[in-house]
Formats: sequence, structure tokens, C-alpha cells
Amino acid sequence: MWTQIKLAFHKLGSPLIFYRFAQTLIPWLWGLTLITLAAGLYQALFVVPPDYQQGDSYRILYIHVPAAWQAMATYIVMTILATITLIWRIRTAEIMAMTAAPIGAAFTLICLVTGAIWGRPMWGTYWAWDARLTSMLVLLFVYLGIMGLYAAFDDRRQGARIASILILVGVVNIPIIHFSVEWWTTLHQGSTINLFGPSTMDASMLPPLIWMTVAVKLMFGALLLQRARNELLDQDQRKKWVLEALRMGGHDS
Amino acid sequence: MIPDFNYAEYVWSSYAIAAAVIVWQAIQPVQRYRKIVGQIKEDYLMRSEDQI
Repeated sequence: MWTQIKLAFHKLGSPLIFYRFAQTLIPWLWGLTLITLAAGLYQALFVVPPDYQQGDSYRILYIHVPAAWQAMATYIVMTILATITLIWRIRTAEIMAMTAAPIGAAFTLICLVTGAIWGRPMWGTYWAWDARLTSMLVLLFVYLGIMGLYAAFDDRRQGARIASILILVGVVNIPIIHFSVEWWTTLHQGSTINLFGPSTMDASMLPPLIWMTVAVKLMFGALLLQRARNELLDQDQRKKWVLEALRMGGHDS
Repeated sequence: MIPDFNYAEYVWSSYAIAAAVIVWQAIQPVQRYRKIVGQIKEDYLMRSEDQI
């Protein structure tokens, strides 16, 4: 079993195999994203009742929370890929780590903007220099820093290795974001969903959150494969595997 | 049928901004893919002509 996993892992290191894997998976991921997104949006906007205190404004959380979770999950995925990049120097892992950054930045932006819009009627302000909000803003800057650093090098492999070090340094912000509501007195509420304990969110409000979370995860997968595939093609434009992949003759390299 | 929410402007503006960012994220890689494939094809044709 472990040998098979290792073999599949190394096979995906081949650009042509990765390209074909991505081409096969992308339409499926987008199809499933649209189905789960439709189910989540329908329930979030038409099925669940208004909150007794927040009224309908709490419906914002159905995009805010999955985006926040994905912003942090993307960074964890990038950390794993950056570690693989620095230890084993697998180029597809390096490309995936770099191409995940704009996706993570987009989800962080969605989280910050929707949180600010929700904050206006609920807290009376769009923004507060609260520990959770500030650490999330730092995450956005870290994402932008990684993108900038990678783009600053003409040699993309060197850029990726240096940006990978920044990814490993920046991961310290993830536990800060997660525990900020416990370590400091914050305006932001604590966790309402607990995987290992009772959730304080009413069960009737939970299904759209699950659908939207699954949709965001699938969307992340599709976007990551699309961007990584593009980056591989761009870097290897003149290599034989590209001609093979695009069916313009040539042989595997 | 659009639901009539209280705090409607906050709810709809949040969903609209999220939709705009997601659509932009979805369109960008498709456009880049087309551009790169176009470049590769153009380059391949030029190299083929040079060989002839």
C-alpha cells in the first residue's frame, strides 16, 4: 500500500502524467463544485430560518466561514508542498505551492470583505484591530509577499525555492489565527463549530455550511490544478512532452 | 424569486463580492491556458515552417 502511494506520488512528478491527471480531474471537480454550490446557496438563501438575534445578516457566514477555513487550509497545503519542494525538489510540488498562493489570497480577501460587511450591522463598524481580524489581514499580506517574491525572480525554480522558505516562516501565523480568539480578548466570537465536541450552532443552520465548505474545497482543487497545469505548460513551452500533451507530435521527455 | 431579507444590502453585497472574486478566479486560468496554448501552437508552426 505504502509502496503504491509512493509510486503514485513519484509518477505525478512527471509533467506529462501530471498534465493528463489535471486535464481529467478539472471538469469533474468543477461539475461537483457547481452541484454542491447550488445546494449550499439554495439552502443558505431559501431554506434556513433567520437568526433570532442577527436576523438575516448571519447568512453572510455561509460564504465568510468556508472562505476563512479555505484561506487557512490553502496555507497548510502550501506548507506541505513547500517542504516537499525544499527536501525532494519535486518540480510539480514546487509549481503547485506557488500557484496555490493567489487562490489562498482570493479566499482571504473574500473572508475579510464579507467579515467587514457583516461587522457593520452587528458590531457597528467595518473594521477593528482585533487579534483575529489583524492576523487574517497578515495572512493576506503573507500571500501577497509569496506571490511577489516568486514573480521577482527570472529563474522561477530559484524563486520558488526562496518563496518556499517564506511559506515555512509564515506558517507561524496559522495557529495565531486559530487561537487568537482564545489567547486574547477579541471582538470576534469564538468557535461555534467543534469537530470533537458539541457545536453551539443550531443543527438546522448547519447543512448549508457543510455544502458550501465542500463546494469551496472542490473549487480550490479545480483552481489549483488549472493554475499548476498552466504554469507547467508555460515553463516547458518548448519541451517535447508539451507537444505530446497538446497532440502536436513529439515524444515523452 | 429574490428573498426579502432584513439587512438585505449587507447580505447581497457580500454574496455579490464573493461571486465576483470567484468568477475572476475561474476565468483567469482559462484565459491564461488559451494564451499559452496559442503561443505554443504559433511557435510550433513557425519552427515547422523553418524546417521546410
